[in-house]
Amino acid sequence: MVTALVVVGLLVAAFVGYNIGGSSTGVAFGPAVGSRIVRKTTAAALFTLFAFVGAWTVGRNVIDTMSDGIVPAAQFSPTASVGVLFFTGLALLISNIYGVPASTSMTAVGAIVGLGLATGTLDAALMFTIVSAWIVAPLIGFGVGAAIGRYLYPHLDARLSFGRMRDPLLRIDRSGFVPRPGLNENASTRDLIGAALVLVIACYMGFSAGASNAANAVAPLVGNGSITMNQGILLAVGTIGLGGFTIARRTLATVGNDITDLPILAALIVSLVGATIITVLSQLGIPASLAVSTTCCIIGLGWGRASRTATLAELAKPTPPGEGETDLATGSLATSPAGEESAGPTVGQLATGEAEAPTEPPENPDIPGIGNEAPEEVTAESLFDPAATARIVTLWILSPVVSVVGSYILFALLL
Amino acid sequence: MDVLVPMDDSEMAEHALEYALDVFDDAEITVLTVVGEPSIMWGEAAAIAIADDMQEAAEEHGQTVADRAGEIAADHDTEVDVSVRTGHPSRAILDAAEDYDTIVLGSHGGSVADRLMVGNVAETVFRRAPVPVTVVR
Repeated sequence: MVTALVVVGLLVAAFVGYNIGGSSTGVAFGPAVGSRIVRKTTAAALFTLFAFVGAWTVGRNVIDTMSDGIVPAAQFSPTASVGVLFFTGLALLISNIYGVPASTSMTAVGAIVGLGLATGTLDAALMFTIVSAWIVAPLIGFGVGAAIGRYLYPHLDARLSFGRMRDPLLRIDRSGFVPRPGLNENASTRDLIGAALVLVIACYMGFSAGASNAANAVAPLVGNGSITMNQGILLAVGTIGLGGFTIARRTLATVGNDITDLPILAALIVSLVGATIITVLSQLGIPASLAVSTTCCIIGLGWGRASRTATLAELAKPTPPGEGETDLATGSLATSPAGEESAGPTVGQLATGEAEAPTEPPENPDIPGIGNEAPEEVTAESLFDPAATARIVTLWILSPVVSVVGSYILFALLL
Repeated sequence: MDVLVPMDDSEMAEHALEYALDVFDDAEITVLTVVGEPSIMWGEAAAIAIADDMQEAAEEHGQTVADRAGEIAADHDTEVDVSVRTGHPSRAILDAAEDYDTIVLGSHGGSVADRLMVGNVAETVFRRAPVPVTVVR
């Protein structure tokens, strides 16, 4: 009976790892594949390699936390392990089928918390640290993104150029008996440097994904001693790699696609920031979501860059509650005719953030819309409005909450 | 008579435009497409926000729908105006709505993820629009 449960546990762990590989490869290598620096197969191979390095080194700390920290390792009975992994797998399954965001790390931790609550063994102090990190890390991502977007991005954009390549930069030479990687000979030095940068950062993201995610697949099994730490890492990375080579082909087109909508420079910045946040947290033994930190950095970067025409004093002015929505329509009508800004921005414009900085003339005020309708001003606020942001934050919070509640009920009844 | 036809890149939206062209054949039809809508990682919204000229970037993102709308109108031997707005689809449509006599739109376009992210656009427009709304199924 017990051995059967262990086998089930291993299978569910493999399923979790497989789905992590599918979704993380897209996030990490989306830009590299999208700009045709590497093919999908090469991306999967590099992702697996660096995820392994990340899991083998920094990832141990996260496995420690999740296998013998949040709850004592003794709590991971074979039944409990399968239960915890089941919730993680379920969240991933729903997330991958419907393309709905669900953080693997947050869901896995949520399931362990449910177990801890049901058995009264939760390390509340540690959970407090972890949840604090979940709040602080995205805020840091947003802040760094906003600062770069507002002050640094135009300068970086002027100095670095990234193009799309006709042939993959790194290709696998299949002419010989053993496939060998080789460089594309028709690329210029500038292309090479840019492409190398994209690739290095993708590998770094793979490293951080491995460091943070290996624990989600195997921590309960390592906790109850069914497998050792090293076996666990090999199982996690093996299945993550399998997912990278198979279902990542599809997720590269969906999840990865969202990040490839960005200009390459922007994708690089958010990858670098996201991966650094996750690597640091993993080193500290804190499981956290790569996608959440990266997304917050994307919003920060876009918002910071789009707000460049407003002064900080204007930005600091809060939108009066309830007024923002209705003012948008009247505000846009007021701003469309050129030259009206000379009288100074109206309070309504300030409130919706639509005002141009007084020191800077409006950029091309005469640009007509595609049609003849008075064009609405495109602003940071129209693109990242608080209601939609709140909705997405709720979605991100939902999966760990459901996981805590579900696993608490399950374990309260079962144990 | 001024008719607003909000469109995304879905087939349902194309049906809505065809319906509007058939039924309101002597009306001024304006196609509205909303770009940079909220998505899982906000890729498109951020891409527009980062561009040097946000208005131009928004129009580039709306070009596919604009081209398709032009083709459909050409099939009906007529022309349509295309306007591009940014941000949340239902809010952008409702902001534009009061300048028109009626709205014609497809019942749904997006995936489950889109629906969670931005809600059911047709339903929101139907409930809140200040003018009559035709939902094409």
